Amino acid sequence: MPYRIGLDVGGTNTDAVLMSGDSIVAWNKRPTSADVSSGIVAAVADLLKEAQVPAGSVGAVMIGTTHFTNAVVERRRLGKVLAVRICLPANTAIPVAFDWPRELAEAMRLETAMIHGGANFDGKPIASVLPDEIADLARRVEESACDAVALTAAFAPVSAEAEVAVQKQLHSLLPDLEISMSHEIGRIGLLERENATILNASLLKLARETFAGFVQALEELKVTAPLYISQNDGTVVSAEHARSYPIRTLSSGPTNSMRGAAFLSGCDNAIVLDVGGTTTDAGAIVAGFPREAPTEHSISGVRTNFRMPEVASVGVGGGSTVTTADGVRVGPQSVGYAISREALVFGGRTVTATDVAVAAGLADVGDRDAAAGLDPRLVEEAVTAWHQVIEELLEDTRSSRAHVPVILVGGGSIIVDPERINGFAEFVRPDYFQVANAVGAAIPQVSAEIDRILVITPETRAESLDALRNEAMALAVSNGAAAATVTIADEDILNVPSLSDHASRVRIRALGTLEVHA
Amino acid sequence: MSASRPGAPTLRDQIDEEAVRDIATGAAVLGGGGGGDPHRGMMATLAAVRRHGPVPLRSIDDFDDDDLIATPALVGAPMVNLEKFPSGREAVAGLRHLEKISGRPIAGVFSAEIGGVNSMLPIGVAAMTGLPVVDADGIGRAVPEIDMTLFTLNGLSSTPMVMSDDYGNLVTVDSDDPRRVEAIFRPLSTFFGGMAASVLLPGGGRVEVLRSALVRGAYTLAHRYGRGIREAGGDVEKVIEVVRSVGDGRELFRGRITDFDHEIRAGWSQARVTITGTGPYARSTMGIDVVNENLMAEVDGEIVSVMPDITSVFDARSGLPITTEHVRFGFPVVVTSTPADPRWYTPEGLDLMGPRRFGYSFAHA
Repeated sequence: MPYRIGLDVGGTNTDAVLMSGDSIVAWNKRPTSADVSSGIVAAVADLLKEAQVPAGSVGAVMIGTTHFTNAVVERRRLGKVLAVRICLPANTAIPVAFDWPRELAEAMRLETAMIHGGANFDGKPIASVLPDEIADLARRVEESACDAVALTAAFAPVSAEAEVAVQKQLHSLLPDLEISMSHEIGRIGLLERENATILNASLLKLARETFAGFVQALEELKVTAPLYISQNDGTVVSAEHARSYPIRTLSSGPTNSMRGAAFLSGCDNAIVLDVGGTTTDAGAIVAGFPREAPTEHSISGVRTNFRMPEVASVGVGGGSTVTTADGVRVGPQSVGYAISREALVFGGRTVTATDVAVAAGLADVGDRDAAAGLDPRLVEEAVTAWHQVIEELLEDTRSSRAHVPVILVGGGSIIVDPERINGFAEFVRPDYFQVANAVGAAIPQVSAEIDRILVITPETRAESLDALRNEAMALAVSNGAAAATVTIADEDILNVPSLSDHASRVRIRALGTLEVHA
Repeated sequence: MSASRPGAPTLRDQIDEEAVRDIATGAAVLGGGGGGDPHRGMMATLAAVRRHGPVPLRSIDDFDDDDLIATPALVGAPMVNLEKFPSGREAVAGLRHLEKISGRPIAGVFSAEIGGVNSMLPIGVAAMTGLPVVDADGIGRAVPEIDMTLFTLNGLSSTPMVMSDDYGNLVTVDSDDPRRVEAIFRPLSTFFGGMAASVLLPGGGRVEVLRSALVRGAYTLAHRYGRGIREAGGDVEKVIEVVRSVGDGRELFRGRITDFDHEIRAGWSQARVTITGTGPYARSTMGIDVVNENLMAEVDGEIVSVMPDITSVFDARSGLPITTEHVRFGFPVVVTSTPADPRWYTPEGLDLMGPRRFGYSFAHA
């Protein structure tokens, strides 16, 4: 079995695992370095050394990173984008990026344009694409030194023709221009897909630099295995491919921890409770994958509609500070990764949730005597307070009335006492719960999805659906899946009779296993 | 409706951007779960008001008997609106065409259906044309069928109607039978790309004829709901108080959505929502029948709200009204009931919008 390395590069910690098949061979956890690459080099070097595995035996490296999320949230290192809506003469009532937070639009020095083209629901063109308008766009790109262009055509998920035509004509004028096309980014819902495409375009430059850094780190270690990046939906793509779609990695952190928890516990339907140092995330796992957020969701104040896991968070974690000034309060302040020197049980002077958990007998870490002096009433009130918050979070996350187990992962999960949570009978704390996210990153699955509105008559229904399934499966193979392993993971066919007699919206998702060679 | 006069009556005032947002929220309450997601319409209207400035709002009493007032509305498949929405010029072109047919200028625009997305387009058209919005609508809530209006109740036709598309094509429909009107415009809207802007002059559009066939103060009402909910800042108790004081409504139930059977049958979104009680309702279960709108709510088998009552569902965390398309498993919710316009409770009104019209075997209590 060739080895795989899974890395989760979070804002606070970098977690790493070395896996062979389904076994975990080695793991480690360290604070994320300011320069991301040196942290990766150190983590991977430690893994290989501990397991006595030569660099040449590694068949795949999979990295999940919050780098791009942080860029959007902090509004740093975003590229200058020209956003083009291909829609005229329709769709002018709402300007491009109309409801964006001003600071975000300014951070990417966003420029906008509308040109003729796009499609109706049946794929027929709204208008022809005009070469003069494209020449104007090219001029604007040069004059205002844009880093990238985001193209969004009306009904592009039904017909990508207009976007592809504009892309080709722009490339014939400016061959090196980076272009994101909405039909590759989002779903039905023009404004949300347009927003996602603009965000994606603004991250292209950072993605190129970041992934080049990853590759360089691996070269330094003489690891020649291909590099894969984990995506929001819990599958991986080649770094080469991910470079063009950084937005698909925007929420891979919580996804990886949920997927890792499902893998480690063997539970395919469950609620995952990931207790970190500062916050606790909860999400539902359905058939092994995170439940998706509703179609529209907000990223840093922008409505988008690409695939994202549904994750709810509360400001309670192992490092949460416990204060008594205004009644007993737990969090949202936290000592974060500094818990290893700030908490009482680790020789520090701050009362944290971990100290209270040790005093209450829930956990046994550090110096138990250091927490023994805590007021028993404070201990009881604080423990009750955070369990109430967590119980409410779990209730919010439940995806059906059916009984499902709760999987506890994350370093902070030692503060959770299942006995104190009502309404959930089964709790699982799997081995390696501390690095579930890195394990999730190392799961070698690839996927592809199509989402169309089209007319399917009863006579050609079976044939049409088969053609679409084959298309989705072929896409999964082109994303790196071994052809023999590809299956249809789920499909959703919704009649839209108010549109025309046999109009349907079809969503099909194919899934396969990445082939890993040593 | 400027923010400088909190609590003041809003009639004879103007609709600015904040008022547009508040009206959209209030329209979702009056939509009783239906009426469509107001987001796209709200965005387009905000854009029009930002470009052209606030829109004057006038009482129907400010118009002369002979004045013509029109109602712009979107017809067709709401899903199309997700990808292709009007430029706004289509409705203006339709309005100008109605003026040509009538030989007279149109003096104001009102809403056909205040509950939901059709509360928005009249404000946008008013912004683009400089016309005032008439503080009125033709129903006082949202309805699943186009003939369930006070126009029908008053024996008025809904036409003449002009449908228009973004290429400048226009089609005029004139018929005395509202059901025929729907049969004509459905296939036409598909031809127009699945969705078309329409402008109607119900009963010919004269104020004298329409005065008794409108719900007065419909925009003011929606605005009072929306402003109250915004000011409640997510506090559900305050939201309930708004429903009580603004609409004479009452709290029916609190709980979590624990079942949601949804299907689309014959073009209608049909669903049965089950809510398991929490807090004071912990031992009870609520069921809601949905056909586009919330038709009927019962608690442990006892009917607590039924058409024409407005049954509204609020997200208990944000205090915001939620439309049927956004109902999800596990949502903590609060359900309220508010009486509709009194004319819907007359024998004729109940014939048109009472429980029997929706296939129930009982009458409205």
